[in-house]
Formats: sequence, structure tokens, C-alpha cells
Amino acid sequence: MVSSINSQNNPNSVSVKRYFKFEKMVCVDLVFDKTTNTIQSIKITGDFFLHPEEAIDLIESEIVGTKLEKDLIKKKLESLLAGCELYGFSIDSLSDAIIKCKEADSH
Amino acid sequence: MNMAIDEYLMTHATDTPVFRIYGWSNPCVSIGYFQSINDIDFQKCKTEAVGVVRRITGGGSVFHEKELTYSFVSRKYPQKILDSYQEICQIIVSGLGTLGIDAKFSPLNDITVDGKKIGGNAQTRKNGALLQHGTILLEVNKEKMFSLLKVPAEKISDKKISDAKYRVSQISKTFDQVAESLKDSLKLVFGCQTLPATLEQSELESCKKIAKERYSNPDWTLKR
Repeated sequence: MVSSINSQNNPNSVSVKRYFKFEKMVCVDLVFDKTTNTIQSIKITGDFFLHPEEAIDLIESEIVGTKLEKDLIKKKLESLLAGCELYGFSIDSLSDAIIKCKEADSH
Repeated sequence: MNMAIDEYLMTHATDTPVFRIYGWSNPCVSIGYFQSINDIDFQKCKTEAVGVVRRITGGGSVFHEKELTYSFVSRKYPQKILDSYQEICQIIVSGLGTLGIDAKFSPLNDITVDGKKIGGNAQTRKNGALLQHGTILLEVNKEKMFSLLKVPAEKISDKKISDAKYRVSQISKTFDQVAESLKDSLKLVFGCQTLPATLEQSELESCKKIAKERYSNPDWTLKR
């Protein structure tokens, strides 16, 4: 399922929501700026496991402003998830998922 | 209140593990920490007087009605997530085995009978303590369950199952039968003694406070 809409506030903003089936379901709800190619907001939801759970809130706030390039996103996630235990997706697969959301808009 | 009690038990964990067995006075849907509230039909839950509570554990949404629910709290547990589920779910597999039910642990967090899910589990770990809670379906109204829980199309198509209802089943035993089997299983699996325990009034008051501040708070329930 993919939904893509332009934000009402910023004509360069694009919102894409997409589900991914990894070991667990992950839904990425991404808003990004098409001109600067940066993340404006993101929600990562699903039935996965992450200890400590609060790490997801940190990811969603700290990743804002990151360029939508896989290596940069992966590096950021690795830093934010250091010491966390994760089951249901990998840092690599989540990085891919975020990039796929961006690419979904251009299809 | 059930989620508040589980949280209280974890935050007050001692060196003695606790296994709690409980049910639900009213039907309720619980959703995982990371789930979106849109993963369930929140409006339908309200219309049908089905409670909605967000857990402090990850995992998926669960419709709690005719089931046995349990929680396990321990300060000693395998660090690897898979190993910890496997060890704790052994209590359930072994217990159901004494009732003649050939249950299996289905990684990561399910219990299955004949390939169908009859129970699920979810964990969190905080301040050196692990909480795992889980369910055993005694009787399931699949129509009602799947009218309240939304299953993403991707989840169904990837498993090549046209109907998610097919994957869910129940065991035809009473709450008391299963509860007794789990108590026996604890002794078998851990080689330990079990002692019945109840919460004191002051502890119940603390649980009520947690329930009010977190689990009955829309800011928590609707946070994602």
C-alpha cells in the first residue's frame, strides 16, 4: 500500500506511507522535501520488537533533516540504535525501506 | 488495569520470578508499543464497548476475550531475544502438553497447534528485569476478532494466505484446566517451587495510579 500526497503547508513536501514485510511488519510514513532531499518527519510503526522501546521515539526525532541517501540514513540509524536489541527488521532493511518510500513518489 | 499490574510487577521485580495468570473482565484490544492506532478499528472498538490499551511491549494487536493471559517477570533471563522467548514459551508448551495438546513454539513469539496460532507473546526489558506477557486462546470469535484488528494486505499476501482467519485457532480447555497445567509446568521446566501470591492493597493502589496515568491516558493510547 502506497499513499503519496503533497503537504498543504510546503509545496515541496511529499508524504509517502508504505508497508514492508520483513521478519515483522514495518510501516514507514515519511514526509520529505523534494528540493532538498531531506527527511521532514517520519513514523515507523509495526509489530516489531526493539529494546529499549523508547529508542524509536529518538530515531523519529533525530533523523529529521537527514539527506535521503541510504548510506547517510544507515549511519544515522546505526548510531541511534547502538546498544539496542532489535527483532523484526535490520538497520539495512529499514534504510532501504526509507529510500523506497522516496522512490515510490517518483513512480 | 491488567497492563498496569504487569508493569508494576516488572518495575518491582526481585530475585524471585513471578508468573501471573489472569483474564479480562471486559473484551479488550491491546496494541503493541510500536503500532499505529490505525492498525485497529478504533471506532468499532468504541462502538462495541471493546476496550483499547497500548502495551509497553512490542508485537502486534491482540483481541482479548475468552482466553487465558499470563505474564512472566524475571531478573534472570537469556539476553538473546529468541532464546528468551524459547525458554519462557517452554512453560506454555510443556503445560499444554500435560493436557494432551501438542503445542509448539513458533519463533519468534507464537505458540501453535497443528500449524495454527493459539497464542502470542510480547516482551520488554527494563532496569535489568524482563516482562513477557502472552495469551492462550480458549475460544475465539474470528469474525469479531478480525473486524476489530486490521491485517495489512502485505502480511497476508506474503504468507500466501488468502484469509488471515485461517491461521488462528483455539484450544478447547477451560481457564482453570490451563491455569493448573501452567502451574505444574513451572515446576517441571524450572524445577522450582511455586507459591501463590496476591497483591497487597498498597500495591494495588500503585497499579491503579499506573493505570490512570498511562493506560487510561489517551496521550499514551493514541501516541502512534
